[in-house]
Amino acid sequence: MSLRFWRSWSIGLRMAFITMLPVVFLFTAFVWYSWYAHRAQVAEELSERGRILARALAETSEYNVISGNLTDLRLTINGLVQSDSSIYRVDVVDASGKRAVRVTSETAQDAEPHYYEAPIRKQVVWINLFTDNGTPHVSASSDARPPTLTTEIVGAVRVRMSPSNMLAKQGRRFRIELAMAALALVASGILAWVLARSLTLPLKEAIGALRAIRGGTYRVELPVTTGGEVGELQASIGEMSVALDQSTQDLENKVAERTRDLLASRNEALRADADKRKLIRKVNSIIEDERKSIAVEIHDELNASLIAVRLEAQSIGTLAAKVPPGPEMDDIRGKAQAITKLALDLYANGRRLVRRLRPEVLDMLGLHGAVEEMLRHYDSADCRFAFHSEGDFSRLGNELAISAYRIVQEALSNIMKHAHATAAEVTLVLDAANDVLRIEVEDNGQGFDPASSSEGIGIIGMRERVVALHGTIAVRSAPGRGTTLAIALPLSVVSAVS
Amino acid sequence: MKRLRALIAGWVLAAGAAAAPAPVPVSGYRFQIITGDESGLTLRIAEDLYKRLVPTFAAFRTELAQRRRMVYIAIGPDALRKAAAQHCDCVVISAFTASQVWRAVVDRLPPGRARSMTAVYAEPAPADQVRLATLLYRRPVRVAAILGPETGFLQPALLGQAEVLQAARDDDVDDVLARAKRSEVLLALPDSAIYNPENIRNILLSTYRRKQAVIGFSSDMVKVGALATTYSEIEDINAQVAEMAASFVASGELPEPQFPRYFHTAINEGVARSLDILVTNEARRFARARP
Repeated sequence: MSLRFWRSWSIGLRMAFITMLPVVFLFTAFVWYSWYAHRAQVAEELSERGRILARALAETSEYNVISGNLTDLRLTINGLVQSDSSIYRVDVVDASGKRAVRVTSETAQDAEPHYYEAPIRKQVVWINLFTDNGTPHVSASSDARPPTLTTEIVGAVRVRMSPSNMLAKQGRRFRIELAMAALALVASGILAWVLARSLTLPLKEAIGALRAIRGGTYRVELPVTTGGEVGELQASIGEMSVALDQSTQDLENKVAERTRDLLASRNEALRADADKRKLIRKVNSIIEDERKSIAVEIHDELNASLIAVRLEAQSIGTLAAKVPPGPEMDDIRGKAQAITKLALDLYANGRRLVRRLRPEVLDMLGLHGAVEEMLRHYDSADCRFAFHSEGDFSRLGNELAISAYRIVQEALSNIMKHAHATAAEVTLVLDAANDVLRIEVEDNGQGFDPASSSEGIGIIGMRERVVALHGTIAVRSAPGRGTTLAIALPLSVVSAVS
Repeated sequence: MKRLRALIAGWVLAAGAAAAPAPVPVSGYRFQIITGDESGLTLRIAEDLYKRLVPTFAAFRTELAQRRRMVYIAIGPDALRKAAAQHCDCVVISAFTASQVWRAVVDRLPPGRARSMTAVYAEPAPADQVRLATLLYRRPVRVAAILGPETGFLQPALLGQAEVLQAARDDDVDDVLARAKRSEVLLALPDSAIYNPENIRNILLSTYRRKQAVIGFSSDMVKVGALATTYSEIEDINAQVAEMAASFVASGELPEPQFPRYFHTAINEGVARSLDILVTNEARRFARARP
């Protein structure tokens, strides 16, 4: 068993142990000492009484032994023996050891040998008997000290004591003491239990309160039921509970306030984001409208004028052919041809500009055809483009189609500018079931690290455009492993916004 | 002690001068105190006695060729024997010696020498003792006295006073006491053949058991269990010795040995109660004071 076995004990058990240990030691010591003391007392008392009795009888027996008058002595000893149960037997012997008187108790038992003997001495009275001893004979009282003389032994008194009666008496006393000590021990035990309980109960309540606090119930009721350290502990836990509850309440109030603030800020941000998206979409719409208007203007006005200029220049050349040749005529014809050519170039530029401003092919071929046309335009020997599409794009809204077209246009432009790719693939999937248009552009270019690289204007523009349409955009890329751009645009949002 | 030695030495020198044979007639007396030991008791006796004797003998002037008769005062038995051994024209007054011892010493001396000796016995006078017993019992009582072979000379003194029981040397004292069972009082007299330290207690017990009172011969006996006694102080005896010496000096006649004249009484009240004796003040005050 470990010497520290008590470490696992509860405080109540420790308290009871601390209280009871000295009491038990005391009880044990008391019981042993009491038993020993009673035994010793019997032995001492018996010894003392035996010696005194033997000596007293020896003193009183002198006359009877010397005078031979033993009847009185026998009566005296018999009365003594029969009245004192601790005397077992008294023998009086003469100087030769011959027994003169023997009296044995009728009740006492000779349980243990307790034998005492006292010699019967002839008692000498040392007074001046006016003998011829040399000293003056003075009849008045004198203080002269007598000489020391050896007295004659005329017999002996032998007393045998019986301890049984005394042992019985001491046994009764011991049992009473034992009962009282046991009673005191029990009382001490009860007191220890009460004391331990008076300590453990408040502690258990305190522990329960602390557990409740640990469980989140900060407001606990822990009345101060006792004084001292335990009472201070109860009071401290109660004060701590109140303080914790107050602190928690304050914290919760602050959290609620902050949450309200955050919600307000979030709502504000959401509103701002919605406004932003709305604004972006509006701006995009306006831009597209403006582009369309400009394209219409260029197509209808400028290009028509350029056609008229070409026709006029061709007319000037035709007229000049009819005029007799001359250097001036040749110069006019050459100028007419230069104007024609310049008008054609301007017309072609106008046409390109119109196409960029307003991909009319989108109106004519739809998104699928427009993207296919765009790929053919970008496709070259340096970078080969592939196209894959799924779904029916005919019912796609104009705004969504233009946005998707511009996104693909920007993605291809980025491939051409930065990817140094040799192959790229564009996938359009119109998932009617999920009401979403998926665009995926993948190349085998040099790629980049999305975590460390800052986004370029192109991607930012695409992200803004996708966000405005409530879509999602994902860019997956790694250095040397190409780039994949995945975009999902909801089909229903555009019309709602529009 | 030096003082005692000087005192005795001075007296002895004077005695030596007196012992020288000279036909000069006696014209005065001188005295010498002889002691047997140098104990404090003896010194006290001697000093008191000296003071009492000086006035008696101071009248005799010391002159050359003047012959003065020596008076020896012997204190105790040993001193008595020393004094008895002196071969001189002197007288001896013995004091503090019991009559039995005195008799034993004197009986061995020549009659002429014995006549020059007298004594004041140490033990109380039997008549006073019997009177004391009568006072204690407040009536005439039967008194018994045991006399041994050496104290038979006291029988005349006890005549009419007490029943005398003679005890032989080998008689058991218990048997002798048994013979005195009719007496109410045992008058104890100093007799080493009857009373000795070994049996005095038994004698006291035996008489007590027989409801007999013992009139002792000293205060110490009363202390150990005797009923009562008359006793004489040292000064009482010395006063009587001085009176005896003065009588001799005045008359030239040496008085007969005598019992103490001056005495007091000692009573053991406890023994008296045990014997159912009511002690009266008369008994307590029974005494004869010295002048």
